[in-house]
Amino acid sequence: MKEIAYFPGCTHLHTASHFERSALSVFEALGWRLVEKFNWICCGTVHGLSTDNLMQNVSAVRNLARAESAGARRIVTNCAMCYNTLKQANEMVKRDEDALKNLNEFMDDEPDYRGGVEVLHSLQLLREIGLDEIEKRVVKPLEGLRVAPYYGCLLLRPREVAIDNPERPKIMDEVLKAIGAEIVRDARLKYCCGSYHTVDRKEIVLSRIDEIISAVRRRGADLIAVACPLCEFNLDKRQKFLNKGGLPVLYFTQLIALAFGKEEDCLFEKHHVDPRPLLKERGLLR
Amino acid sequence: MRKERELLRRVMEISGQNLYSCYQCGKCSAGCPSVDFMDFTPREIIRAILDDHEEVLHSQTPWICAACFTCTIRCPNEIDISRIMEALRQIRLRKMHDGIHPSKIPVDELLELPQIALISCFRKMTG
Amino acid sequence: MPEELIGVFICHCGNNIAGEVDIQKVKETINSWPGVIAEDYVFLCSEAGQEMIKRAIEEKKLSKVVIAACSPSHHSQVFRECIGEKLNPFLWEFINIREQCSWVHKGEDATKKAIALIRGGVEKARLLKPVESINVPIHKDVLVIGGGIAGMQASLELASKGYRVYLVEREPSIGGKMVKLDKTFPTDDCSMCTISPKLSEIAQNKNITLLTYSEVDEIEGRPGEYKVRIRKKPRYVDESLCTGCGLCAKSNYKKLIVPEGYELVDRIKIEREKCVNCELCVKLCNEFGYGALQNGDDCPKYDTLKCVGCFECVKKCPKEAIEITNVCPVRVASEFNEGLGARGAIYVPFPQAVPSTHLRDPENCLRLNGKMPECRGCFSVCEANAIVDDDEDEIIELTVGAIVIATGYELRDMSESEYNVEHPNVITALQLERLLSSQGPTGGKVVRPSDGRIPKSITFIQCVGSRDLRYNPYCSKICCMYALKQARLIKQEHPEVEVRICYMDIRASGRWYEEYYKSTRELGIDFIRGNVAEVIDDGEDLIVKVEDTLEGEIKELHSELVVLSVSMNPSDGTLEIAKKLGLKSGEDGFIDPLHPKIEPVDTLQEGIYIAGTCSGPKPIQESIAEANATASRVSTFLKDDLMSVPLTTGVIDPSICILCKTCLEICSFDAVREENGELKVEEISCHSCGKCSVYCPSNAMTLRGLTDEQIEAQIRGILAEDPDSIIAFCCQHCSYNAADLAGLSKKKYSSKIKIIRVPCSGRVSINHILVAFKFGARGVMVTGCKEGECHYIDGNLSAKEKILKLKKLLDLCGIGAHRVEMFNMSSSEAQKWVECVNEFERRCS
Repeated sequence: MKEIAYFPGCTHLHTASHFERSALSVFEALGWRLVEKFNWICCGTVHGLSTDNLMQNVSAVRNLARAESAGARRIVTNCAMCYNTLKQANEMVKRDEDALKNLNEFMDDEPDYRGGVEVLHSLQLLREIGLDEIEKRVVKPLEGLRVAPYYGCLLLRPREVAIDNPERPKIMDEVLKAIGAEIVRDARLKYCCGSYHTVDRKEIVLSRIDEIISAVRRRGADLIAVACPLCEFNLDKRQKFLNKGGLPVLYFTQLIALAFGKEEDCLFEKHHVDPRPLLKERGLLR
Repeated sequence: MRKERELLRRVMEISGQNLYSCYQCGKCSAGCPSVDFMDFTPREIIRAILDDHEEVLHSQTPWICAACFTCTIRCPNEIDISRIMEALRQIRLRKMHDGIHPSKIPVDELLELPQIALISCFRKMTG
Repeated sequence: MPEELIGVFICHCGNNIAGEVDIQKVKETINSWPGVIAEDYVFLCSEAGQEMIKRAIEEKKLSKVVIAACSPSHHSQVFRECIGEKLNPFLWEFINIREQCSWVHKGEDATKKAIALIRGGVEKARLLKPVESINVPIHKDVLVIGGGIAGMQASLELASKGYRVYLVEREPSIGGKMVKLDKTFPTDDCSMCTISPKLSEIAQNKNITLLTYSEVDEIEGRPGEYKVRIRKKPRYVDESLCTGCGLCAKSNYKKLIVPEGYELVDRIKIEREKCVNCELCVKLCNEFGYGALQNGDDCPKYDTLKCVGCFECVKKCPKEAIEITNVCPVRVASEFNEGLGARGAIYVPFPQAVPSTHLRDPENCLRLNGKMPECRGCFSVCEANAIVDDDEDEIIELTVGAIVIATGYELRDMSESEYNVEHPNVITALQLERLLSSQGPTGGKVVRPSDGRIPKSITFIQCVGSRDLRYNPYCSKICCMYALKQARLIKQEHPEVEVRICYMDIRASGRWYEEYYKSTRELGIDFIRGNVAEVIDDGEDLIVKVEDTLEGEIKELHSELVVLSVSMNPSDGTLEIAKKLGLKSGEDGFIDPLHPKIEPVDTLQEGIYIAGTCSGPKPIQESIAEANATASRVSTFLKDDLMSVPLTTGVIDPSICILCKTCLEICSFDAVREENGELKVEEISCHSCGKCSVYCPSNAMTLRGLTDEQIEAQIRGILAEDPDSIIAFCCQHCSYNAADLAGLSKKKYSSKIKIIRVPCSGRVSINHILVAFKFGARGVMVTGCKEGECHYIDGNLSAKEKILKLKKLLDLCGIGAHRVEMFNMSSSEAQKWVECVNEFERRCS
């Protein structure tokens, strides 16, 4: 069993527990244990974008400092939002010595961060493990299931933190292809879902998800795969305000777990649009 | 006499971006997924800042922008437009003009919303 | 020994120098030095100024001269010729007190620095020795690399002046990009009609040796005598026999998009109406043992996988019911048609190709790649018996006097961008040219590649990869005009088609261009001012997202065809040849002319000239004008039979040489030879970089043009006047010019910086630097070309190595490693020069 330091993020303890459970199960099947090696806190959720306010980056850098002092060279997270925030902060302090010095001085209760941690998203870890290895573990290929991999913003943008080509991403497509799914591609799969406006301006989110869901539906998608708990919330839970018949939205890790025969780790019941009837109809679920 | 281009100076300082390099091509606006909800397109916002129109501080545009970075990765002049929007929000927030009042969110919504939605919203929209 | 008298001539350069430097004071100071006499003049470079110098040399019996004026890159030729009339042309020294003094420093500082710099020049001049010249032959033949319109025109022009021209082209035919174009702006005349007479003229011109499908492998030598090795690639068709009849290339393939890799198609077709099902063909085919034809119900069945292309069935069919459809069954995407339409594994790029010799593509030919060794379709139909299997690279060695580079451009690869170029209905402007061309894969019909239908709406997108820091920062200059042309041709032919152009600015500057733009607009073309954010796949159609910035409205343009005006990049050939010849290129990869304005077709190397788009985007007419200019420059260079080469080269004193052979090993130009137990420098091969003299452990190697003693005297001279200086050794190819450029832009820096010009940073030895410290220098900078860009291959790397060693030594002896540093920069990096000297000055204070 190989080990890697793991950053779950807040939602994994709460609304996205099915993301975590399926992810841990998938990695375990692939021979990797994701271990919480340090006392992590909220990542900060968004990277501060003003030059004169480092406060917004404290929580991300605090996590990195703790990870480094716990001996972690790499940390992996499933949540695209955590990935983006940690990675942007990491890139920023690597680029800007003065900022790092200021942050270290401010966090005088923590050991100094020296920039020695690499932040990974779990899709990157999967790519590193290899598509062959994933293919080997498949017991129930998702044949005939037309999946639209939704990347959203935070895995692809800004460019310096992108896990793949931001205009033509393929990484999730390849992973899902390896488990037998048929891939539906569309330009809107890299569009924003409306993000936090789900709190204050639901109409923006509804217009975004309507465009995305309609587009992939036109292309005959059976379901959407996501890698972010906020995207999942917007695309799945917010569908109840669309009144257009539900299109299931699943975490990519749930699909892999299903293909690996780990139905018990999928927790499909946690979705607003219940994917089970579809999966049963396709013979993928009893 | 009016202070010359005070708004422009502030935005350039907070965002770290040189707005003068903008050639008004509109690529940012055309690619923006939320532009339909904006009262000024991102391009118009930049033009207005360059012209020191204080009214942009009252525009909805920076509050609609959710920092999805689509404009940032496409700007041919490598202007990080997300940072310009952040600067406009910051200028307002630092004067105690919050974009949202957490107390007004219904309780059932609060129970349902994922933490990252709430925290990111508060971080972007409150001072 | 008779008293030597050195004359120092100070130029005012109008007010350029005299405005800051107190000429009177400088003159007085110089006159106080022993054996030196100073004079000044308002413009030394003028006729009168030169006369004054010559008169002074004669009247005052001057033995050496120091010119204190502008930069040697401006007027060194002028003064060399002037002084050369009276003295050996190496008995003078050029001191730059304009770019590197009066333009960057003020008043007293400038005056003080000018005195120090001149003192350095005087001390160096005391040790100058005459340098003799030898005459070497100039070969009269010319090599032209690249057979596009620029290379073709340069070849024709040179040939008509009587020179023998070797025109080398890497593609199977000459013609370049222009033969792919339909019509050309602003006249809308047919491109092929204007270029094809030139194609055949080249084929027939006795002074031109055409080497197509050939690569330049190696070039060495000097201006006037370049040894060139050319590799002619095998065509697997005998050039002397092939008549270009085209029988072997016969095909009925119509598809616009060939499946990835290649497609295997039927070679023959049996006409059911004529066939009586006599089965003679089946019998023959089975007798030969192929079995490609089998009995069928009303006519034989055919299997192309078994057919070898003997075509006996065609010949023997009593009813003439069998027809050859594809001689070669392999269809691959046509390079000439930019991937639209197909060619066979045996092909000629286009009907007017020169030469018309066909060629076989060994990667796809079933016989050559071993997939079907008995395949012989082309053999069966070739009446000239020109097809051969045994063919190989042919090496051709030439000696030429001058080289013309016309290696051109290519379109930037925009795959994986926001423009969705992977979609079949998103095409480049060059692909559209092929669709517009009556010789193209559709016979001139503009259709959608996906379904061959005429599109109802076409959107042109401008500045794809141009004026965009993520791709090419520059404007490609021709895209506005060609897009106007294409839009107009389509609109004229199909007024019903909706044609839009998304642009940022229409740049139509040139004679007849604005008028062309206006008349194009008036045809009813929709101009939308906005830069496209994204091209979205909408099934077979596309959605173009753009902000109409004049309206402030976001538009989603539903388009059946999208045409990208893609940015121009230097071609691979341009990048390769620039590297091979050590030519200076910009960050964009285009080759730099000697001067962008006044020497547009010369390069930094005499004897090598450029034409066309290898030096930047330009339209056809400019390429042709340049080609003619280039031919003229070449003929000027070649006009004499001999050229004089000064022997500023290395020379070995055999009496102290210990035969360690270090020089032989480190010389990048193989200029050191061992002869009869002695080492000798072959003067013609030596590039006078001086690296050898730095490495020579016994000091036997001297660089005639710049000895160690001269460099040390210059250092001493400078420091005698201004001991607190920072000595900056500057390479003549890069940092010296960067400093000049800083002067030209009046970027100020500390007057403590004193530049000593060297041929290469590799010329600077540890000893030179130690001498500087010994005489009080505050610090020493060595500046050279960027790594990988040294004009003498690796002089800058050897300098870097020495500095690293020296740093340790300086720490040990208490001077401190920080007082010496190596900097790398290109000649255009004036800002970097200023940053480097400022940083270094801070460090040393």
